[in-house]
Amino acid sequence: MVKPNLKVKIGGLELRNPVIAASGTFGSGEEYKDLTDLGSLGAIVTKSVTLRPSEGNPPPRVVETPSGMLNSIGLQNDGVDAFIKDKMPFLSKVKTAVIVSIAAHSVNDYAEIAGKLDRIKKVDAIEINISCPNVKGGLEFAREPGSAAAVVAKVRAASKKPLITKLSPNVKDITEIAMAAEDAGSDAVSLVNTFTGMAIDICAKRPVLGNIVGGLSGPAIKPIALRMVWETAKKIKIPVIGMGGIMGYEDALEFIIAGASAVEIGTANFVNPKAAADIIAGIEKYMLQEKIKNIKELTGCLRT
Amino acid sequence: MIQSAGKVISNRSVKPGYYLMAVKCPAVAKKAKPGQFLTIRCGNGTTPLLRRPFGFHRISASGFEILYERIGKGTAFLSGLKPGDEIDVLGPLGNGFAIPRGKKDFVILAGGMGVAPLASLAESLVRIKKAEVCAIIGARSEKALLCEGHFKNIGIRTLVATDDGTCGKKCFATDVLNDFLEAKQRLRPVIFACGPGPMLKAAAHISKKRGLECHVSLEENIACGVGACLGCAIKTRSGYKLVCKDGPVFNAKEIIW
Ligand SMILES: Cc1cc2nc3c(=O)[nH]c(=O)nc-3n(C[C@H](O)[C@H](O)[C@H](O)COP(=O)(O)OP(=O)(O)OC[C@H]3O[C@@H](n4cnc5c(N)ncnc54)[C@H](O)[C@@H]3O)c2cc1C
Ligand SMILES: Cc1cc2nc3c(=O)[nH]c(=O)nc-3n(C[C@H](O)[C@H](O)[C@H](O)COP(=O)(O)O)c2cc1C
Repeated sequence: MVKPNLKVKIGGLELRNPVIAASGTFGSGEEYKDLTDLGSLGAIVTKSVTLRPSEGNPPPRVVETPSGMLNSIGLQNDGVDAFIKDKMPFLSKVKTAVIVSIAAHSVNDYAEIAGKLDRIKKVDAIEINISCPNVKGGLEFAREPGSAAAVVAKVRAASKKPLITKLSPNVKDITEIAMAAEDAGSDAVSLVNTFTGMAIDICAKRPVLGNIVGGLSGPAIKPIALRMVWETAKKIKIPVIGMGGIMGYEDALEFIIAGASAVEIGTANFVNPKAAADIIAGIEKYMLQEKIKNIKELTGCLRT
Repeated sequence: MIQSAGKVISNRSVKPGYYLMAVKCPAVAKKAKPGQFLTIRCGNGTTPLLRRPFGFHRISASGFEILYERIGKGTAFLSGLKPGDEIDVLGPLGNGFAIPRGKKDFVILAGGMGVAPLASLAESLVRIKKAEVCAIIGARSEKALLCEGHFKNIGIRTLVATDDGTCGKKCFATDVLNDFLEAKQRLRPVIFACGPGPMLKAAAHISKKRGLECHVSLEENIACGVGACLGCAIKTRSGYKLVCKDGPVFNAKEIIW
């Protein structure tokens, strides 16, 4: 049988396959260059970058929880100018799509970062992180349809790149935010970011994380993330990129069947640096077995 | 760094709760230096989820040993491994101990499990011509005292301190360090330390007071191990640094304790 077609389109951007490394879990790709074939990935989303350098939260910043982990990194990064100078030269040479994640405290900052990235050729798309639970005010834009739309509209005006809006699960109704992002000109939405959570050291009677609260990721969140992707995909026409606890190709397929056009792999990269590559191979094998020629046939094929 | 399958050669309890595991894994061992670390995936399930970090206890051309304490799910899994079992190894990670050129006098300061990565360092130090190495090992009690024989076997003067006095002097390892330096004022040894935070802080203080060079190997919770997630940050005089990528060995004067 012929090789199945795994290509997917996110706005104007065509990806070799639907498996993407998630923001904050894959650095700028360079950290994993010796451990996996970066060129085999559908795309890499880089760690969220802010307008100015940001030092991040006090340690401890990560802790394992049952089937998951909490993190409170707090968007540590050197700022967008340093990102372009220090990280883009490597990323320009990687043979995969580069999606740059951006985060900010104001609508104008989002637009300014997007404007700077718009001039960089190898930036294939922008993921607007309106959903970071680990910085003060980081969640505000993701909470209300109006503020989410304001960010997307301003970034849309500042950049011609395909835009992906990354949504928070820590909201009343994630589908409303997704619809607002679509109306404001986003080319796709990605969900979910982490769920706010915490862990306590009962001996010290202190929070385990330096920031007290953090974001929960990993297999523990998968069923909730999947439900949110399913609900969201029914309500919007733009592509949905699904994530949350994907460890193997079976998890990825669940998201795709629920309505995702592509998936992002986060925590799994820590467990197995070849996780994304293994997932691509697994999806391909599944398609061969099920005689599915094009991955698009799978997106949203859920029978209810 | 490389991700490679390792084969368990032996895995035995050296004292109740403490294990020594020898792993055949030439790809990782060939590049490993004392002070660097590796991570192991403990099973295929989701609990434990993250890979667990361990120092290289001993390094050879074909493999390495880790010395570990069984304290939770990951180390319980490891303690159940049998010769012939395969494990998923990622390493070597981080930077090892930098041995300053021209120096001949060294003190190794170990607290608790901190002794694990210092054994391979000791083996490197004794190979330096005319080197004088002294090891100071601190432990809760005799039951948790490890490697004393190993250090002595390779010809290193070894001093012991236990919290309960069941072996060696009843005091902290850093008290022994202080006495040692006091008695040998003319020596300007380089100190290499690994162990609990309070011990390292005390060692940093002592070496600063005496103007001695001190390198400490630090621990933080590790997620990726390769510098991607920024999870294992510690505070230094030049901002946050990562234990996995910038460390785990740091110059003690860099750390904000
Ligand atoms: C760079 C580095 C090198 C290390 N080298 C060694 C080594 O050579 N030998 C060795 O025995 N251990 C070493 N450790 C510590 C080792 O990684 C942990 O003991 C191990 O991850 C515990 O896993 P677990 O699943 O058994 O315990 P968990 O179930 O994760 O934890 C059980 C209990 O132990 C505590 N704990 C977990 N991790 C640590 C830690 N890093 N330090 C102190 N307490 C902890 C937890 O708070 C919990 O209460 C090293 C750690 C680092 C960061
Ligand atoms: C350590 C860590 C750092 C993260 N940093 C970011 C970030 O900077 N920007 C972002 O949009 N998402 C970030 N995330 C969220 C992930 O991209 C992803 O949405 C989330 O972890 C859920 O997927 P997973 O369960 O596969 O990890 C981070 C997650 C982790 C675990």
